[in-house]
Amino acid sequence: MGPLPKFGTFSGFAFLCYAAYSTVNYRNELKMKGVEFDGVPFEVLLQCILGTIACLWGGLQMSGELLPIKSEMNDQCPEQLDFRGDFISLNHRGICLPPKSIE
Amino acid sequence: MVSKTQTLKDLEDALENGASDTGTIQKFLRMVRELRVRRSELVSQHGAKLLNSRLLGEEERWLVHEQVCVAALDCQDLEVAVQCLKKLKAKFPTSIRVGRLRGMALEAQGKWEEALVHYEKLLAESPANANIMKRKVAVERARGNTHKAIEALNEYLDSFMSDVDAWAELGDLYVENLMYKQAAFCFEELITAAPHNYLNHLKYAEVLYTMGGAENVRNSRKYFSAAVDLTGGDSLRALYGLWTATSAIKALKGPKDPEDESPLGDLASKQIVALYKAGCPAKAKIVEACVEDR
Repeated sequence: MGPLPKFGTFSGFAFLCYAAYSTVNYRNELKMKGVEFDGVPFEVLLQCILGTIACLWGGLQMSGELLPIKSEMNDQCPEQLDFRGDFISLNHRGICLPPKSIE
Repeated sequence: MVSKTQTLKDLEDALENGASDTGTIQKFLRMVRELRVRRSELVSQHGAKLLNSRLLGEEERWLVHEQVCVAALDCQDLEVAVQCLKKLKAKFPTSIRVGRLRGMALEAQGKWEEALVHYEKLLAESPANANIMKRKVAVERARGNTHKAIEALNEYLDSFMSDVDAWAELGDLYVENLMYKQAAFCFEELITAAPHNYLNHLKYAEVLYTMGGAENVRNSRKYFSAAVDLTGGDSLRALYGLWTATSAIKALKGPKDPEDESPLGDLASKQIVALYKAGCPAKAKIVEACVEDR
């Protein structure tokens, strides 16, 4: 992994921060002009989208290889998965075994 | 991170090798409760020492009593069971849950009729108690009255449709009675409820394969494949199933399906041989000759 993903994530965050900063500035400007605020300008939207994509890409690159989604049940044998405690049957061959002595 | 199954196994090994300090026993009993496994012998043998231990909080103490009681009944260790039962009865004199344990004690002694009467009495007290209804099913099954067990279980499932365990039990009961169509329905229900559980896919595939017929066998191959996929190719039962299903499809007469020529069977037989070579080299040759391309 080169320095590129880190740079991507960093610049993505920088874009987002800059977008927030310019929105605040824009609103202040509008307030001074006395105009109603009804949405951010197009450049800021573009900055947001670019920033998000850069963050997403950098994060995915840095997190390493993606693994398939796997069930964690395969370390359990069928007997274990098939045991239902509420339906436990007490009529089994254990009856014929000698009782285990406790020391 | 160590998986829970591995932790349980380590604790089990420690107990079997003579560890008997209360801390280990407490941890072991907790794991058994959490993973819901059947380790009755170890639990009743060692759990009895824990009953009066100061390690246990008020809540856990009674949980352990219940757990040890059931385990002791399972191993016919009636002395320990009666001891637990007496204490529980003194602590919770009107509890239905303790009543269920009393019923199980009757079952363990083979007094099926008395146990059923006892459960009926408890049900009259609290008609919606799921655990008691399940015990009734278990009694019928233990006596060999599978038809009655199926009836009781269907009645139970009418009111508790989301109980996965009950569907699994019903499926097994139907298989025991050779009622494969009904069993298949139960396993379909289970697959929708727990799609990550490979055993459901496997059992459904086995039922389909047993029913036979071109369509069923072709479908069974799909579900065997799902089971192999979910186990990552570690389950011999799933691999053998896949191999037999593909062989059966090859032998089918009538119109062919383009999927019939898939290499799944060969892959399965290769993996079977590989597993045998890794785990049991002495038998690998025999198995190889058996699953070789027919």
